[in-house]
Amino acid sequence: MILFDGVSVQYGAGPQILRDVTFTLAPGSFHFVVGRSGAGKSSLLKVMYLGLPPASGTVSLFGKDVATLDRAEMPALRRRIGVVFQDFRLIDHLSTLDNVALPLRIAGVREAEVKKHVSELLAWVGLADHLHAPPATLSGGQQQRVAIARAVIARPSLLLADEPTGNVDDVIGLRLMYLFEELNRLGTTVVIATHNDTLVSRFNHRQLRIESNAIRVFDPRPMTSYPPPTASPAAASAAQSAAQLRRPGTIGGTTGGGFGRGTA
Amino acid sequence: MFQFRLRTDLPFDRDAAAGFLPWIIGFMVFLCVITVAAALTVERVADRWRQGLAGNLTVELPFAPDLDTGKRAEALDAAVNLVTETPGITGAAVLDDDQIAALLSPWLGPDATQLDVPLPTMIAVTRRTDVPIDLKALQAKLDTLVAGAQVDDHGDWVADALVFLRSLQALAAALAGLALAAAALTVIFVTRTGLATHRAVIEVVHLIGAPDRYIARQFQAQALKLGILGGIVGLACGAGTVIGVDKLLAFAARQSLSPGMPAPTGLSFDFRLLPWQWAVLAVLPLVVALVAMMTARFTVLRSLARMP
Repeated sequence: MILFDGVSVQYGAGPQILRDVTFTLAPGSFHFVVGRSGAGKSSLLKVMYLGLPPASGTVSLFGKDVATLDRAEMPALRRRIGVVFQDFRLIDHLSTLDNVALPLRIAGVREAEVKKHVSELLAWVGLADHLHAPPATLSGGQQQRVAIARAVIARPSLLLADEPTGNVDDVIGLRLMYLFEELNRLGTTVVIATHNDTLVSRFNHRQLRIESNAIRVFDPRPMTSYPPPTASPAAASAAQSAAQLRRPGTIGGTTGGGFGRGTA
Repeated sequence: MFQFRLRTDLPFDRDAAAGFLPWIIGFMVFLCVITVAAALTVERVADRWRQGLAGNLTVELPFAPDLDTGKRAEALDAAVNLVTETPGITGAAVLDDDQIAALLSPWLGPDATQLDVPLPTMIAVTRRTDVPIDLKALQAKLDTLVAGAQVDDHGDWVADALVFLRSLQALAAALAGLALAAAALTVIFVTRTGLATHRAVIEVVHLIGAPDRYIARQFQAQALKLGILGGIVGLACGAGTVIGVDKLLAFAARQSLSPGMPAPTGLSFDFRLLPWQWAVLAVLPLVVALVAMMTARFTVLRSLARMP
């Protein structure tokens, strides 16, 4: 799924943020990226979502070396990646609904299906009453949920989230984590950058630890004791509804159920 | 300028430069309408002049002071007979004093024939346009009857006039082309400004997986919308101007006529358009809007291709 081989990252002629990084993330895995502020967590994610080319080394996504990708091949690859940006990067003149709908519209999903699925997902993240609100009128936590909904709505193969629970309370944070876990259970590879040690220890997934510009992979659990993740029924419903969007313009899988305002 | 919305991911309504685009395109369409209308009118006038003069000849017999009245009448009859017997000639009529006076009145006043001025005798000849006439042979024969007789098929005059009219058409086409080029350059400027203004949004949309053509579609739809709106205004103003100028020309022509003079026909110049010519003008806003749309598309695709 993701292969970094001897990758270095730096901005322009500045200092190296990451040096000679090598690791592999298997399809369907769940990883936290941890490290102190400024360690390079966001830069690592930026390289993963093709927002920053590596200064050196090889980055391979979905079996393709990104250095050899033609510009025309980028959009299809990016559509397989959902990104929750640390600063949300919501489009401020669009409503909440339109922001979340963007990946589906880009993918060419029919408008009626877009509205249905976006409304359901926004209801699940507690924003049913803010469908038509512009982002500027939402709180930081609400904007973060919109950003997460936008990242997961098209059920990406790879979900990259930069501090996705940084602006929400514990209850909402847990609910969002259950959503990520459920997406992961359905096959999405999840990478979450966070400095929330409580969250990391509670969910007990493998970690990419950034220390001194290098990355060390840490697995807190032995392979034999790695249980399948569990999630609340509501999180499963939300994730499965998103999973119904299998290809542009079609809806497959189960119908009904939808997103409840379930408890996490 | 106008208030209706297309769904777009980019906040085009915040573009200051885009606000001017309908006005500029409207002005360019106005110029196109005027110049194309002029070119179409010129074409029609040229046709009318050709048709009006193609079926006519003029035979001019100079005043012969050394002949008495009887001899002059005999020579005139012989000339008329010669002309009418020529194959392809359908009729010949000697202009009387009143007709001569009407022709000369702009220069010599209404009493031209009463002045003590030697005036030539004019024969108005009608001919078939499908039968060739050997004008040189006719001229030679007339010359033997009346020395200095002239046959004029107006060919030189018509040729000069057509060169002038074609020049006007070329000028009109050049002006229309310049207006179109100016509109395209304006669209390029506005599109590039829009790309710079919305760079952050475009980057997000790119990262979400939008191909360049998805972004280009939004710019081209916006350019098409503004182009059509501006074009409609330009067409309305241009059509009003064409109608106004036509009425002004008609009024000026009426004012220039002396009382009792017949209205000019074949050689007059008006700005009146035929229905199909109006249809051509009606298509112009669409053409300009399409040019604006395609210009925006290519500008966006070229600019985005240079982005990382």
